[in-house]
Amino acid sequence: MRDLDPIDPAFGFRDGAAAGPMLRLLIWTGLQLSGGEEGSLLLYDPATEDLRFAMTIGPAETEQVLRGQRVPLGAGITGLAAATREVQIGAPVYRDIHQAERKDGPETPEALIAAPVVSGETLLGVITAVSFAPGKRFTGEMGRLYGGFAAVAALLIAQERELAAIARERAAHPSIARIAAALERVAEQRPEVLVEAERMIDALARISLPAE
Amino acid sequence: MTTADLSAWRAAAAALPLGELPAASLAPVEVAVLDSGMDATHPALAARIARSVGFETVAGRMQPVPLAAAENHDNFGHGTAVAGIIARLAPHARLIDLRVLGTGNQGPGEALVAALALAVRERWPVVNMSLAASAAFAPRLAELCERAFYQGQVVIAARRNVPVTDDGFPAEFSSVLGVDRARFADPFVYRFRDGRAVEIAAHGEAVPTLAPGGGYTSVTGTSFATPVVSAIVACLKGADPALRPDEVRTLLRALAEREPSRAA
Repeated sequence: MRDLDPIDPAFGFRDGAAAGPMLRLLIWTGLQLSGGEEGSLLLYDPATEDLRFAMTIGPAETEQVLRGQRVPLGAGITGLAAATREVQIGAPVYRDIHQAERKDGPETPEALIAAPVVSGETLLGVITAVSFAPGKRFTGEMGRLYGGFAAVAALLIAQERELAAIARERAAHPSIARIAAALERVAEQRPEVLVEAERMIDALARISLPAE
Repeated sequence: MTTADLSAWRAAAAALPLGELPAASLAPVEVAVLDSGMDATHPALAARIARSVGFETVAGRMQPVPLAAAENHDNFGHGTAVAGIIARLAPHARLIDLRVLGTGNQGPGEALVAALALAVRERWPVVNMSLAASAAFAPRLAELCERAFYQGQVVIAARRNVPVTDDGFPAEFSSVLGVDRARFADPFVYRFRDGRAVEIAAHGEAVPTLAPGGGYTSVTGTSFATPVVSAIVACLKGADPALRPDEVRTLLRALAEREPSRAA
């Protein structure tokens, strides 16, 4: 597993956040267990209503080619996984039904799992596993497994975005960060004073803000 | 309805090339498929699709919109794969294509409710839903499924592939036959799981079926176990169109390969 660039901050991740390497490790583990050769994380862009490759696990050249590329929601297995919020397992297309049953005919080169990354009702993205091995098919159990990894990925991404939002807020108002740090020190060293501090902050809010 | 009848259907269905219409001894049965649409240009679906309807938001409300006949309405391939399974296993089925995915709507919720409402209005006897809506849509779907049940329609729905918080709606409802995925050599063999909300486990691993554009593929997941059950139900309803949903469920239970007990 290579150590590549962190996830683009445009996706709502902090610089150097641990979530990036954790997601990479998660997808890599999923690939090892499912027998996939390449994997990826596509993140949903609500502004353009499509998916963008945020990370791939596999050959470096794949990462260079795919990263940042957009995938429409209205087509393909990844789009289907996003639209249905369901794990989808893709297989090659054959000329006739007998080839499809025997799995030995000429085929497109990939079997694919696409698992939606969903937090509550919100679509965050899709993780994929791809195999180019002839005759390789992902089973339903592999799909279910990969779906479990997608659920963990959703937690990681949602938590990272929440932390990033707090960090942005703190950066925009450095005095809030200083006050919070001071209160943390008080809580550690003089916890009995916290009640009084809370009263003071409430009083300050009453004085400073117009009555509702 | 006897076990011998079902055995005969099994043999007939297994021998059928995909898409070939048989000399049907069964009455035609309309099977509504709420999905991503169907490729009506696929040779195996030619003359099998009785009606195609899409769903779009018009004046703030999700409305049915007729779709042109003999065109490919499926961007994803999901609905064509589901339709292909029903067409193969129930050659007497007349497919109703209700496209609820792929029209720009991200999740299927609103379109799914509108399509099920249409299926209830039109009283199509078998309704296949290889989709699961979020819990927010459960009350409206439950009401429609109850209405379908009381007017004699059989609604068959897929369990989620990865059920984290729920098994999926409407698969969980008692008025619906919920379907999970299993592997069987014979698609007409399935398991009936007493006492569970999702009571049927049917063949849903590497199921050969149609791909849009005239090709063939094999598909895996609860989505594709569901049309296997819909096809079996279409066979039962084809033999006796008056069968009510509770009678269908009783027959399915009687004809299932029973799950071995834990004690055994």
